[in-house]
Amino acid sequence: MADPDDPIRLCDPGSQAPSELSALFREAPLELPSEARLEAMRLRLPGTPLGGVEPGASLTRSALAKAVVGVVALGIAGATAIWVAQRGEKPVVAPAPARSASMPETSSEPTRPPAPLESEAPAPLESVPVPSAAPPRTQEKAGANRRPDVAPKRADEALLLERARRALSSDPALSLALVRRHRSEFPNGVLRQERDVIGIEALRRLGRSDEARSKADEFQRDFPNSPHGRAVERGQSK
Amino acid sequence: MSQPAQAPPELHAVFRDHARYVWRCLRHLGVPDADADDVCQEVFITAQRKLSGFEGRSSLRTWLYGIALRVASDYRRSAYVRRERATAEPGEGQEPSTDGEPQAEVRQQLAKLLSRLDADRREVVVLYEIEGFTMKEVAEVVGCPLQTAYSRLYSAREQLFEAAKAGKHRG
Repeated sequence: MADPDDPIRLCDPGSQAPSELSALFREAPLELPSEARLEAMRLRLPGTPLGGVEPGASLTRSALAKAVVGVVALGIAGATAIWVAQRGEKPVVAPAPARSASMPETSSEPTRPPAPLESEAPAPLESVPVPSAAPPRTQEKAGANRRPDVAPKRADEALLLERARRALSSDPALSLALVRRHRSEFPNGVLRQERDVIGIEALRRLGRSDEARSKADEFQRDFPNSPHGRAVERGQSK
Repeated sequence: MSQPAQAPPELHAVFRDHARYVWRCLRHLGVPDADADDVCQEVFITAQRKLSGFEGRSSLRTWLYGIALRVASDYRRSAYVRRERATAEPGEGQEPSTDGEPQAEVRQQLAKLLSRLDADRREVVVLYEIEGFTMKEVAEVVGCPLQTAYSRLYSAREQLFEAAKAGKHRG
């Protein structure tokens, strides 16, 4: 894909593979862990606060509720200690609630984590803007933690598009979401034609025939000599 | 605009973007579904220790795959696996994941074919044909010369062609 010296893949047109084998590589869906399992793994990562909130992430409603409970409990304990001290008695410190100590780091504005490449549901986390209780240094760090600091490369562009292609048969909605992400991250990428072809096919598979037709016409106008032109037309005639 | 040296990626961000991919790689590398979560955890714990040294010369995916490869190798050598290993093969195991029956069957058929390859060839096929790495990246990740990677790919393809023609993926 990205390297012209590489042989044609078994799933690609023009492959010398038996058709059944080619179909298996083309159609076999990626095996993915469920979201619940992923979340369980994430919660066990080093550095995950007790509330389960990712450092630098916005609070979900449930995590916010937990944080509020924790703060209120601390407030009650603190107020009790002050009141008792003012009375001249030895303060009795109430037992701290289980998850009070670590106020999750928050950012001052909603942080939408980018949809991971393998995401089945590209919808972002429900987030609630929370005034940050963290010092400015943490806020800066939180802002920088939104995505890995690695410049996209051609291999990454190709991999993202490959994900979109492989999702076509099992989850065309995901495929379309990945195409949109590709367009966003690689607006001038070298695989634009391939991206458009996948996007058109995803629309067709979603039953959005009029949109697919419109995109196909646009593709033919933009790339009249494209080697993908026939594939686009064949797709529209299905 | 000149930029200072880039900060290493943050673990949770790396997990968010690449956990599914790492988990899938581990399954391809022979880690059963029942243990995949724990082994995946181990990969990211190991990655955290090394993140400060990640220089971005390769993509995160190739870098993580290298870690997954070593962790999966350790897993296979562990006494637990020797005692418990029965018939688990790449792609087989407990219920997963996210597919309905037809898709799972297709994946199982592919897994049957892949299981006929030795580990070296299977790894190259998975990385190139399924995960979409370039051959140069494949060679880098598996730690062999590019020509060796090509050789493994072509011999694996011969085996797969024969097996597919003989219907080894069915039944």
